[in-house]
Amino acid sequence: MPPAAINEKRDTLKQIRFIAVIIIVAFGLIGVVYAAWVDQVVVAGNVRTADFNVRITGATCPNAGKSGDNFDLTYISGGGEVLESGKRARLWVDNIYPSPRVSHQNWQLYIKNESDIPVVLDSSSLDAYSGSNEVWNYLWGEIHLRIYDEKGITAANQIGSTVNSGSFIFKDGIDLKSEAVMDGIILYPGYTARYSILFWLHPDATEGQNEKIDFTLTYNWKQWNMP
Amino acid sequence: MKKVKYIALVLVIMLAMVGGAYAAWTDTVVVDGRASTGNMKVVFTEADLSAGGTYEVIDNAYVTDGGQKLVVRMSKLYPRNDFLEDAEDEDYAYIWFQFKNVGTVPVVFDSATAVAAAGNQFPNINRLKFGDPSFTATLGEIPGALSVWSDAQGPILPGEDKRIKLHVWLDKDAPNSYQNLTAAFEVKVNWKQANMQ
Repeated sequence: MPPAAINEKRDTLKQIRFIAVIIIVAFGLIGVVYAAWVDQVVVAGNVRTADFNVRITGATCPNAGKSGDNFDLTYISGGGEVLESGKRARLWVDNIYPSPRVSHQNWQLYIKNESDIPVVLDSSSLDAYSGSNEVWNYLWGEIHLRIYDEKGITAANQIGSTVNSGSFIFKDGIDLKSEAVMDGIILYPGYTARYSILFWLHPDATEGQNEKIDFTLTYNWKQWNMP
Repeated sequence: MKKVKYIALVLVIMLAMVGGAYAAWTDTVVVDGRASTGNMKVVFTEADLSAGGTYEVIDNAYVTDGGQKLVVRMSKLYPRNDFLEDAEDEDYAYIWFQFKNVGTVPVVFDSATAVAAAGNQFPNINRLKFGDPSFTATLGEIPGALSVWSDAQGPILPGEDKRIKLHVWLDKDAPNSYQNLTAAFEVKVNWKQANMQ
């Protein structure tokens, strides 16, 4: 190739390089301009699941030591306490003796739905009971249920002011009666179920002095919308 | 290939169902309960005899059977008017006894027996008479008198004790055959819960 032709080709390559640089710079400028025009909307995907928390908020034996309807029951003592952040409670009564139903004592158990979703009682059970058969066979009870709304006002829309079980022998019925009175009742968020567990030692109990009984009552709750 | 797809579909559906069951959230609360029964027991704690005026009775009175029975033996009694006829007269024998509610339950009188005891020499123990300003009774009438007394007293509360003092004498119509005889009798009292009247 003659020297003139070589020089011409060299010039042509220089031009191409220059144009390429210009194009790059131009696109760069366009990019800057384009970037100035866009905006960004960020959607933070934060899905929080509901909380499920049913808790015992109160456990008492309110009438122990107070006069009954037909005789002074001063000598009966009792009480209750909430344990384990409301997941457990202890109820007790001392010095019960045979009496008619009218002289009953009662435990009150407050169970609150602190969940974000409604709950219903799935099942309850009476477990690990022990002690005197004479006492078990003659300890009678009833369950009276009242529902309070989140403001502490009786929620009468579901059950009226209260729903009561019939009388039953404790060991045969306390768990089943617990379920029966709660059957179909939805405990909405913030609502509280007050179980009044009435009890009395039936007058037919001729034995059983200085005895005691122990039991564990378990309440299982579930979402209201699940079978 | 179709079979594989079918099995895969079934597996997916089954897993979805498992997931659904697991999604039913639950919570549990537990209540531990305890009930203790009380006890009922009333016992005689003391008993004694004494005499007033010219009387010089006497014999002894004691509590037996773990506090459940009161036994009394009396000598040197003689006939005199019923207590209510001359209440100011101090010529009497006296028996007093005390009982206590050592249980945990309030009680009231239920019933009693008062009968002749071993060593009694009286042909008719009901010649023995008892009284205080409110009543006069033979031994056989003592249960009824205790019932009236209990109604007036009301329940005997746990830890509470009661003391009863009675005048004792021989019926004014007792014949000579009652001379130099010893009267012996025993009393048992049954109590019941005060709330079961």
